[in-house]
Amino acid sequence: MEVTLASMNPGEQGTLIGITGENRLRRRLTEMGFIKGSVIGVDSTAPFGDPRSYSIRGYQVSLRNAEADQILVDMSVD
Amino acid sequence: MGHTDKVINVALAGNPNCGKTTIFNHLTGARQRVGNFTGVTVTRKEGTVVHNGWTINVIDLPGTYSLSSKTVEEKVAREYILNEAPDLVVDIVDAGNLERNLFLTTQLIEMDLPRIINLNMIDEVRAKGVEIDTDTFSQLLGAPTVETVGRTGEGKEKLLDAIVEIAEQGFQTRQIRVPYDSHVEEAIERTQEHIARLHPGQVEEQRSRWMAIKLLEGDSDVLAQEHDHADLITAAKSEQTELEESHGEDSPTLLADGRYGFIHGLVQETLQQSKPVRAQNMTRRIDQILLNRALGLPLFLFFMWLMFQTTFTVGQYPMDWIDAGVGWLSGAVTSILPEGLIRDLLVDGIIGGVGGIIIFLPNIVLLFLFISFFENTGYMARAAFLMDRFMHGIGLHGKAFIPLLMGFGCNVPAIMAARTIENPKDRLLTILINPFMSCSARLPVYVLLAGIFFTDYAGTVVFALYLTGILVAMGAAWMMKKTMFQGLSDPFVMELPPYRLPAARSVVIHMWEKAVEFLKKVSGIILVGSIIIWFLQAFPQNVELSIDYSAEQSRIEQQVSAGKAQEQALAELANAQAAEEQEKRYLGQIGRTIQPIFEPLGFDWKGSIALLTGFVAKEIVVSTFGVLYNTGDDVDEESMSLREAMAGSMAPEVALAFMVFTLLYMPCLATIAVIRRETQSAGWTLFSIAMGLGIAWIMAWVVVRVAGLFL
Repeated sequence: MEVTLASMNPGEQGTLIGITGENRLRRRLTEMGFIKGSVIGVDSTAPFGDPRSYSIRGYQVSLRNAEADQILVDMSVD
Repeated sequence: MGHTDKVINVALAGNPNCGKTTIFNHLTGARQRVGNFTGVTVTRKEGTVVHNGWTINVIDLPGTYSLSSKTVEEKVAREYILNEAPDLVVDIVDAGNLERNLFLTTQLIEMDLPRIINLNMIDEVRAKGVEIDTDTFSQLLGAPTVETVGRTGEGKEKLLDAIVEIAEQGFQTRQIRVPYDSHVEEAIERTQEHIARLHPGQVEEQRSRWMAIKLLEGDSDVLAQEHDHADLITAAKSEQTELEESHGEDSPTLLADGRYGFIHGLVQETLQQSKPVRAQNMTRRIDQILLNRALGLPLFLFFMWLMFQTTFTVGQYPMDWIDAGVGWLSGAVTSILPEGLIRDLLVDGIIGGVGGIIIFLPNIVLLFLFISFFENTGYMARAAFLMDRFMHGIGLHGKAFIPLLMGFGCNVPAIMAARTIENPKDRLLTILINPFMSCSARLPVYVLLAGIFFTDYAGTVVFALYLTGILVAMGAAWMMKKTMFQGLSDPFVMELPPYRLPAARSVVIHMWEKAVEFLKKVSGIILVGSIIIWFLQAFPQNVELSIDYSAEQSRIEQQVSAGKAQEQALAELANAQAAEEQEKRYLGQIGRTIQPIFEPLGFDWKGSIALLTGFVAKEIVVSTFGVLYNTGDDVDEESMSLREAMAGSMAPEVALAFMVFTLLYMPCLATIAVIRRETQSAGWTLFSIAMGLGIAWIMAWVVVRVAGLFL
C-alpha cells in the first residue's frame, strides 16, 4: 500500500519508495539517508499537529507535514 | 628552529550533534581562539596542543551532514578543506548513528585527504551490547580508526597518537573508492578522461575522480570553477541527463544511493549487533513526556520560566557585586585624581558608561548557561519542534522562538543565540525583530511612567507594552518576509538528537566563550559610545547660566540657619544647576534641536534628551529624568520625589506614547554593537536602527491620537 509519509499515524512504519517535489528538499533528505528501501517510522506529533518526528536509520528527524507529504512510503512490507 | 618544522594542521569535521566540539575542547583545553570565518557568521574555533614533540593546530569546522555546499556551514567547511588544505582531517563520527554520519565520510574519502576516523560516543554503543570491528573498519575506509568517549575524554591520547603517527609517516593516504552503479562508474570514467585532456598531468587521479563526481552531480561551485571548459561542462551535462533518464532518478540521488550502499555494506561487515536499528529507547521514553501533545508545551513554557526566574534572581547577586565594584572604582579614581576633565572622563564617561552595560553580564552569562545546557542535552531541537507551527505562521523557523524569548531578558545574548538558526535569511530576520522584544532594561521606564500617569492600572499598561512589542515583532517579520526576504524557505529537516547528559566542562566552556566574546568584541563600541555620550553631556564646559549659582549658594549658607532646611535648599539649588547645565550642553542642545521631530508626539525637550541618553542603555532614561526634573541623578523608578516632580508634566496619552517609543526605538548601544557583529554588515545595522526609529515614531503618533480621544 503506497501512502505519503504525512498520512501515516504515529507508531506506524513503512519502506521509503521515493521523494517527489522540489530539488532542494530531495537533496537534503537524500544526504540524510532518505534512500529508497530505508525503513521509516512515525514518532511524535507537535502540539499543533505539525511538524512531526520520524525515525530513520536509527536517528530521529522532524519534518513539516508539507514536506512529509512529498515522501512516498510503502506500508505493505511490514 | 627545528621544532617549528614539526607542525600539523588538523581540521575536525563531522555531523551536527556528533560531539565534535567536545572532542575539540578535550584536545585543545582552554587554549582556544574563537573568531569567525571570513565574511560569514560561522564560528571559527582554533586551538593548539603539543604532543610528542609535535605542535598540532586544530580547527573545528562547522558541523555538516554533507559537503555539497548547500548551506553556509557546508560551504565554509568545504572551502576550508579544499583551499586551506589541512594536513589531515579527523572525521568525527557518532558511533551510535553510523550510517548517516558515514555519508560525510564518503565525501571526505573522495576529497582524498589524510584522515582519521574517530568513532565518538563509543560508550553508548557498547552499552547497547554492540561491538565495532575497528580493524576491518580502518581497512575498508583506508584510515586509522580511534574510539573516543567525548563525555569523559577517554581515547583522547590515542587520537593524538594517531595524528602524530600519520605525520611521522609523511601524510600518506590509502586511496579508497566508494563504488557506484556501473553506469555511473562509466560516466565518471569518461568525465575523468575529459578532465585529464584539459589539465594534462596536473590533476591527480583521486582529485579528478572527485571533480568528475561533482560535475555529474551538477555541483554549482565546480561547474563555475570549470566554466572556461565549455565542452567539459556540456559533456558532463549530457552524461548527467543520460544517467537521469536511464535510471529515472536525479544524479545526486543516484550518487547518494551509491554512497549509502557502500556504507550499508561497511556497517554490515563491521558491526556486531542483534537488535534492529531504532532510535534510543531512553530518548523515546523522555520524548513521550517532553514531546507529549498535551504536556509538551506547558513543560517547555515552565523551563523558559525557570530560565528567566533563575537568571534574574541568581543574577542579582553578581550584579550587586559589579555595581559595588564599579562604585568602588569610581570612588577610588575620584579620590586619586585631581578634579578636572580627565577625572570626569574616567569616572562619568568610561567607568560609568561601560559599568552601566557590564552590569548585564551576569544575566548574559546565565542565559547562556541555560541555552548551552538546552543545546547540549538535545532539548533545543525539541523546543524548535514544539514551536515551529506557531513560528512558521509568521514566516520563521521554530528555532527562532528561543532567541526571541531571550530578548525579554536582554537582546544581546538573544541576538547571539540566533546563531543556532542555520538559514542566513531566517537568522537575519530573527536578529532584526529581536530589539522589539522588550528587554529588562526598559521595564524601569514603564514602571516610572505607568506609576505616575496610570497609577490604578499600571500593571495592565506594562503588560500591554510587552504585548505591543510582540505584535510589532510579528508584524515586522511578516512584512519583511513578504518584501525583502522573499523566496523559498529552507526545508525544515531537523535532527532530534538523542538526549544526553552534557559534560559540565562543555557547558562551562561554551558559557565562558560567550561572555568573553561579548566583552571582547562589543566593549570597543561601548567604550567609544560611552565616551561620545559623556562628551556631549560634559561640553561645552562653561555654559552661561541664568543665575549665579555660587552666589546663590553663599546667600543660602548665610541667610538660612544650618540644619535640615539649609541642606534641603542647597540640594535643590544644586539640582537646579545640574538641570540647567544639562539643558545647555551639547546633548541638551541636540535634544532641543530635534525636539520638533517629537512635537507631533507631544514630547518636550526633557523627553527628547532622556531618549537620547537612553541610547547608551535604556534604563538611563530614568536617571536622566532625575537630573532634568531637579531631583538629582540618584533616583530609580520607585523614587517618590521624581514621581511627584514629573506628575502633571505630560498628558497621560503622551506618557503612553513615550513608553511605546521607548519600547520600539533604536536598540541600545550594546545591542547595536552585537547586531553589527552578528550580521557583519553596517548596512543591516543602520537598517535596524532606522526601522526601530520609524516604527517607534509611527506607533507613538498613533497612540497619542487614539489614546487622546479616550483619556
